[in-house]
Amino acid sequence: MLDEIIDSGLLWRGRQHSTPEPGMRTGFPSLDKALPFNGWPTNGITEIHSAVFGQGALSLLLPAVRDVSHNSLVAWVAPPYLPYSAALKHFNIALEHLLVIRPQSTQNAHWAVEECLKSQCCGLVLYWPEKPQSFKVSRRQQILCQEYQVPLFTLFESSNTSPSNSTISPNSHTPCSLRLNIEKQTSFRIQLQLDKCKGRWAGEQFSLDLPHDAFWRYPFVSNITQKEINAPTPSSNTAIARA
Amino acid sequence: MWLYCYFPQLYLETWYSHVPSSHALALYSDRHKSILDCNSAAHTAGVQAGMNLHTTLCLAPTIHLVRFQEDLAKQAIEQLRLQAQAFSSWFQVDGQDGLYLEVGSMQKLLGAPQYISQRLQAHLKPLTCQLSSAPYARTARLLARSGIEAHLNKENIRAFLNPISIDQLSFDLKTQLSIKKLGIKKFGQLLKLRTADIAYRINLETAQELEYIAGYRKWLPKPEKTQPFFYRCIELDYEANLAHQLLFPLSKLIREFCQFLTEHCLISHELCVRCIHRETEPSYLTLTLANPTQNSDEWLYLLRHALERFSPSAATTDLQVFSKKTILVETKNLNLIQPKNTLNIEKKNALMNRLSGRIGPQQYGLLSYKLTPLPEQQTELVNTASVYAKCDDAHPSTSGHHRPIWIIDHPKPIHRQQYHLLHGPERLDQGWWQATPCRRDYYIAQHQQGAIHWLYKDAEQRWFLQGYFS
Repeated sequence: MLDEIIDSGLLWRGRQHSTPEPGMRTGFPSLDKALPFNGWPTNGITEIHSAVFGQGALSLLLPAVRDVSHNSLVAWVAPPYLPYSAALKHFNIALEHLLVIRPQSTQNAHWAVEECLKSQCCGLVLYWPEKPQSFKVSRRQQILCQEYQVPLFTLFESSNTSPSNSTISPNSHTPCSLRLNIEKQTSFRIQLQLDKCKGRWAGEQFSLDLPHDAFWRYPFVSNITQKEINAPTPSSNTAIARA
Repeated sequence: MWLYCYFPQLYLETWYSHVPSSHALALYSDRHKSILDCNSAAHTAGVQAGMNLHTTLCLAPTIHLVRFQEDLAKQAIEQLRLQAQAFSSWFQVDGQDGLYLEVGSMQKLLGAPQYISQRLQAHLKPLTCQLSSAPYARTARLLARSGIEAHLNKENIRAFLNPISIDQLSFDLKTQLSIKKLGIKKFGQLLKLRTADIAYRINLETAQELEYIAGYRKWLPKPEKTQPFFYRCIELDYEANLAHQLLFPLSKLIREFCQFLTEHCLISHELCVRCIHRETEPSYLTLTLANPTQNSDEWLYLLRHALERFSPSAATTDLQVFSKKTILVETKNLNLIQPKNTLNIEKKNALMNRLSGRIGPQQYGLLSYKLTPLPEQQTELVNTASVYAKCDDAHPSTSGHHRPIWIIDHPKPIHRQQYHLLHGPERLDQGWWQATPCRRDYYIAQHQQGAIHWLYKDAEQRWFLQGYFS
């Protein structure tokens, strides 16, 4: 019986502790330092939970996506919306290597994730599940990540502004390598909590400084008056861009 | 006797035949950033070949711009070549839009060149083509490319060519100017000149070309081998009422098809299955892969999933399988150790073929940038790696400084009160010279819940949500 438990990977044994494999650069030096892999884990699932849709979950991954996209495919499975090519081009991401898959059913989405992991041409897989995945599905994905050495990022973003209008509560029993929770986001900073991390104690909180070229995070509020917004649009054809 | 077929809009008519003729469409060169060809709607809007891309977008903001790809041009002419096999046994492709056919030997079977020409035109009906026949191949070519439809023989050739104005003929601009400088207005005057004089005063190429046209020197197109065509027909031992009953016989046919492709060094991405019924009209099943292959596993995988979605109209008694779209396999590096890039492309193609088989071609694709002013139309998914069009850096509206990661296909109306404006306005003013201009003021705003959105206010002061930052 003990052998069965060991074979199924449900038992953790202290003597088998091994040094974690080097990770994939996150693009944020402070996050690289905080993680035991010196970056994103390359052979497992990373879950990113966010209470509000558009709170910066994807910003965390864009540097890794940019690095991988120049050498291999990056699969986006079941993204909530279509990625905007002009914005991605600005981040120097190779568009011709972004494979967007929008399956109509959850079953097909799981299948597509597994196919991408097994294909040996995807360097990174991003997945937006509609609802928390079962232990069995996550376990299958985790094994494939380990076998093919492909990182899988599962993004759970929930809010009434999200397309599905569903609330996704974090499942704390998934066999992922890393689970992050985005707690708060300000103009310059994202505050994260480490909910689970192989090789490190969970519960730690830390904040990340965002790159200053993220123009839209600066507080411009005082520059726009209500009067200006309500003013009718001028008839001239010159573009107005305020900085 | 030679028939020359010239297809001036072959590329657009082959690959973009689904675009309605009322919609402006143009083909552009990525290298020169200029227009190569356009349809009649674009021509009506003032677009012309050789025009700059920016000028084109100003003249027709809603124009659908297509990047020229040499592979697709070759495929288009290859398809024509396959169809031309029915009309002649000796033919040659000329560039990317022309075809020589030897019709003299076919006269007993198909009739005079003008009848062959009519039949060919009817056969290639949706395509615009200009046809001319003459005793010399280069003469037929000159006439067809100049838009002069004529069917000449040795007796009337000189009489027909002599009065033709130089302006009417499709010489390049430099040669035409050189000819005009000599005071020559009619083609007959040019033919009277000595070859050495033409070579000295115009250029050597023109001198040689004129010798071929007048028949002083002989030039024959090189005959090409005919492309093999796959067709199999089997009679079923039973009447198959359900689609999955066709799996076994079709699997056998697909294995034969893959063997055929391997034997002939071909690959294909499309296979048609015609299910013959006893009383009703046949049902069709088209198996389309994302990328051409001769791998039977990929074809069989596609077949299994295609049959799950297929329902024949009645019980099937016979099966016919055929494929017209085959491509020659490119020469491969025969080293046992293949470069990493080649292996990756093969794996990528295999992944896309599997996706195509299971979830369908509409539900996945490689991200691509489309040249159009409206943000919601700029992103599109291309699900065949071979027709992937790269993003155009030169387009004025590609700046992504203040653009969100997510874009909404159909902007949603919103209440302005829920937002706190952070940045803006940035005006998008397109088509102001037209009757229905598109004027939008874009803002970056923070939602009550903290997320940052991309909004716009239209000319009627209505607010819409266009995208999400993340």
